[in-house]
Amino acid sequence: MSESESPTITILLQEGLDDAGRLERLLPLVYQELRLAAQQALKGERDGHTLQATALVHEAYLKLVGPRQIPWQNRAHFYAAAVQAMRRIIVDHARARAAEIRGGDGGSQADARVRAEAARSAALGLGGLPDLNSAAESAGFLILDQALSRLEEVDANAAEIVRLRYFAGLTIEETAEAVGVSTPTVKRAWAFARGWLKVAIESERY
Amino acid sequence: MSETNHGVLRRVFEIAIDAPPDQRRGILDRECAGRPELRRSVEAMLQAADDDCFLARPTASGKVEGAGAVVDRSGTVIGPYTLVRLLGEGGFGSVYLAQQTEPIARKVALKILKPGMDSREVLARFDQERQALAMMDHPNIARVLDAGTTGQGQPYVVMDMVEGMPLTQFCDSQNLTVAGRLDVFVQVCSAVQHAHTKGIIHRDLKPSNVLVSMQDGKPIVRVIDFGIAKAVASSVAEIAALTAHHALIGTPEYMSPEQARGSSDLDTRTDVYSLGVLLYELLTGSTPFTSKELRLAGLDEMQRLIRDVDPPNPSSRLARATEQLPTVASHRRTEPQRLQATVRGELDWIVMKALEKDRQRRYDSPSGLAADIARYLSGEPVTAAPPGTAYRVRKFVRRNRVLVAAGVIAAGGLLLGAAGFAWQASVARGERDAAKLDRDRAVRAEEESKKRADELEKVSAFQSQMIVQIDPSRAGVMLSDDVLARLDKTLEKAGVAKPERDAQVETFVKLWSNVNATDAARSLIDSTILSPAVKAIDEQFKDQPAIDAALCHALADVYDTIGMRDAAMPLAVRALEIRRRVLGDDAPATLDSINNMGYLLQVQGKLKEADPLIREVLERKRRVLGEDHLETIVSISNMGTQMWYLGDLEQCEKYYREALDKARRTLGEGHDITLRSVQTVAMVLRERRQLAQAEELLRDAMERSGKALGPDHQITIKAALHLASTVRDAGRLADAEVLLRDAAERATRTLGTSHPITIEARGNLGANLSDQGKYVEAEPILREMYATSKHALGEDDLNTFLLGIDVAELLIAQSRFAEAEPIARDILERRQRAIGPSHPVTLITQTKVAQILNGLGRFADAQTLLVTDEPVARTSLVENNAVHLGLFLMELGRARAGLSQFPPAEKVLLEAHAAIAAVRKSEHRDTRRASRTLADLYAAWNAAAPGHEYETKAAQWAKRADEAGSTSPAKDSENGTSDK
Repeated sequence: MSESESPTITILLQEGLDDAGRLERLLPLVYQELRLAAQQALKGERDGHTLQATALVHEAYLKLVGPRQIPWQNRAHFYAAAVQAMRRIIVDHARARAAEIRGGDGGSQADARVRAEAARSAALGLGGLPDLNSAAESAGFLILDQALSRLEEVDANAAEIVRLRYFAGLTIEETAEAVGVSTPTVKRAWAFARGWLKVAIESERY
Repeated sequence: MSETNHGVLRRVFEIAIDAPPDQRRGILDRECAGRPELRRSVEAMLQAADDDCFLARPTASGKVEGAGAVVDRSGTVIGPYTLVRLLGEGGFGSVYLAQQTEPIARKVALKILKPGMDSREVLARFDQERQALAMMDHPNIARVLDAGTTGQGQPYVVMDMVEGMPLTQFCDSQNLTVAGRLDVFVQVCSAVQHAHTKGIIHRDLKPSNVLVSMQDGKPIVRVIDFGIAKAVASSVAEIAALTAHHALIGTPEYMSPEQARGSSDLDTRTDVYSLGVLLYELLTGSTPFTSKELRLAGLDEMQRLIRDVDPPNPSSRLARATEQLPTVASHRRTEPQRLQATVRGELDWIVMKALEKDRQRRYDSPSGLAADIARYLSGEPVTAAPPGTAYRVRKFVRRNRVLVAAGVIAAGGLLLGAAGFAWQASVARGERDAAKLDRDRAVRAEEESKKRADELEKVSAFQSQMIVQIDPSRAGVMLSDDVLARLDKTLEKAGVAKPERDAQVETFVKLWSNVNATDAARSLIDSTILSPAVKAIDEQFKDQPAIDAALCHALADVYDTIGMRDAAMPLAVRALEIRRRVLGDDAPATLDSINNMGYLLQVQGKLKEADPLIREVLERKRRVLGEDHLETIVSISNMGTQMWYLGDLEQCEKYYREALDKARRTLGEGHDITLRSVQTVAMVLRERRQLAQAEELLRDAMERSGKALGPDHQITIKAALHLASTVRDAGRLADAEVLLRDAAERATRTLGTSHPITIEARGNLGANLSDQGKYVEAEPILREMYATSKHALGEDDLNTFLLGIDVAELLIAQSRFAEAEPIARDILERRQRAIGPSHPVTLITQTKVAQILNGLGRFADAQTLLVTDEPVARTSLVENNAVHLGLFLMELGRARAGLSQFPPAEKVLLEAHAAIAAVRKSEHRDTRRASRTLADLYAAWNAAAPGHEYETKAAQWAKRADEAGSTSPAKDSENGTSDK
């Protein structure tokens, strides 16, 4: 997400989407942001990972825009949808990857416990988005995602900040802008959510 | 975590985290006094928040050592092949450069298909084709050499190693001209044709499967991946299934309609379609449906687009791509305008024939396509025609190029004129050149040349006068009539008996009704007359700017007249630029050009850009030509029109009245301009709801026009139509009916059944009858006019749209919802495409469709249709007309009530009623319907949850609806067909 493009998007969104052309102009910018976000998410990996950054965005784009054009009320509205789309895609891929390694329903109870423990430590080791080539990280990501869903239940606001930061790759400042609160507020909420999630994952029995 | 109060936890945490670490303990002592569990939680979280690993880099990817399952397998040995290097990732898998060791040592391309595909299935399919694949031997085809399964059970395919760039990239990198591209493309056709004769269909032709390289200074094509698509997936359904699991694979841009449908019955013509897409892209730089359009569409809509929607032809695509056009043209070593002219006509037809939705109508083979291109390149007539145009029309047209319609004859004048100019100008230039050494003669020749130029300009002015009378819809009608007459005659000559002949003619009429005769005439006029004229100007008048400008100006006018504004704009710009420079700003010709530019911008809705030009021209005309000059009067009226578009009705009336006063005074009552001015003033009066004044003015105008021009003259008929609408607005439907019957009869008799004025007159008559509840008489009229309008004016024409709405309204009024639905959906789709989804007119149409769905009891469908667009409607419709927002909300509320979502339904229905009642009187149909809907809601609510006074509310609203209804006739006055 580049700083230079953000104001354009904001202006376009502030103007509303009452003429047909505007959405058209908006989407490439959004697409650009998503692509950058996706590349950022996956950079550091070597070539040949299952999911190419561009493909990811195509898919996100499709799921995002869907068969009908959704009129974004504002930036936050848009990011909420973007985040949801990104999350859905990553969850899908992580599930597929985790299932691939697990290989059917076989294995003893003990195996299952070992796998769960491995997944939990992988979750706690996640610095950012998972490497989807790694079954362990994929499984770890799924645990993090579950914890995030629980946070959502008790504290939607904190969960939203996490989603924006984690799935859309927004900086603290950008998140503040997207949500419409101050930077220190986001900082506090982010620290809180991180702490909450880590404790939740650590204390959860699998 | 088991804290009971999350809010407290968060508050304490946030206080603590903000504090310096050494003060945290104190804070926790204070905040968590007596709550050890809270304290434990906060402490754990504070510790976690300091963790420098967990979510420390939320936007970065995970640990690199986790990337164990790398897909790059360079170095791996698979059978006799050693993978050397990963070349790339395709939709179906990864491609490697591999070294084969036996039986021969060579480099090959090895493609490993993606995991997740059933390898046995793939190999079985591949085996079926293997023999046929082995038989392919063609210089433009990369052979498939081998196939097998890797140790991990993934299928792979081995092919000739081909160097080269994807087709489109290659052509752009070499800046190949259109002709150069066609040469390369013919090689592709030849390769695909060869495969077809061996029984192999490619099924996945796209630029990345057509690699081109330079060999000995010539581009050589190699088509790769034959047989792969078949082996991997035999239907779109499978591709879609794969797509769901993997990233986007498959290339919808190049997919034929039958592939998109998921048909398993694919034949060689699916490749012909994909070739058509490639050719389209080679010419225009984009595919018929752009990637963006398709991705925007979603899977279902994507399939529908490919299956049912006709893309713009290549030249229209170029005309629309104003931003990219200069780049596209320069990659083809030409100018934007010239590129458009080159593509327009025959190349359009060739491409569109390959892209026919119905494969029967495509070229039957790649060689058929290549042959037509060869014909085009050698200047012979091509066999392709505008899509949908019957073969006979084509032949007829070719034999009678210039005689298709009276308008075209006039247009022919310009072509001849342009050729004449060219010749005379070159004579003059020749004389000048020959006389180079003789100073006196040179000066004389220069003078002569100038004199010629002046004369030619006069001639050009005269001819452009003639040419602006071209009326493509009229030409289209004449074309239709003529073709039928000739068909009958030809059959008669061939000795076909009368009954048989009639049957054949009837069949043909049915086929012909699919043709948009106006579009056919338009493209004919363009390709035979106008494009060559543009070309002639380009070539011949570069050094005679005044003539260049005059001709450009004239041609821009013609293009505008025949509805091709995209082509008109660049010519108008050029004319204006030259005239300002050469003749000065106040010259009459320059004023004409400024005026023209203003008009073109205005009709394209670019009001802000048009405004300074329209003001400038009026100011200059007032000053240069004088206040009472005819030209000045016209400009005053144009200024009024600009105000109309801008919505400033007061200013609009002021200018229109000024024009009318001046016209009456200086031109006389019977003058064309005066009569038109009367109508403009009446129009603005009507809009300002001063109906009595408007009616008086129009009655007077009709009488004067009848006297001066005759009762059958177009202007008289127009005045009558106008008057009828005004009378209708005043609520006098029966009076309007009398006027409309008379106007419709006159128009039909003198202008023919397909003339726009006839369509307007009869359409308005039908709508009027429908409004009066005379459905039996109205229905056939409206249906006929809807069909005629589609045919004569085009499917996307505003009149066609309004007539479609009228037909739908008539059916809705009779509760014939199932019949109304397909019509309403069709027009909705067309509107969405033509003017965009958030345009007020589109939203109004959407409301109609929802009304139909509600009528059919399909509440969930209706809600789905409206709910996402509610925010758009709230902005877009309210500016346009709050009543329409009310109607939109009313249908949304009905849908919700139908779904038993009573509280939200109530909210939205009350809002709907308020919005409508703010504009409409209580006895108006819309207002009463809003009340009635509320009564229905409360009745249903009461049935679902009795005892909440819903019954009383239901009775109250029902009473409001009924009382209002008893005070006036049931018909409304504002909601019928408006002026067309």
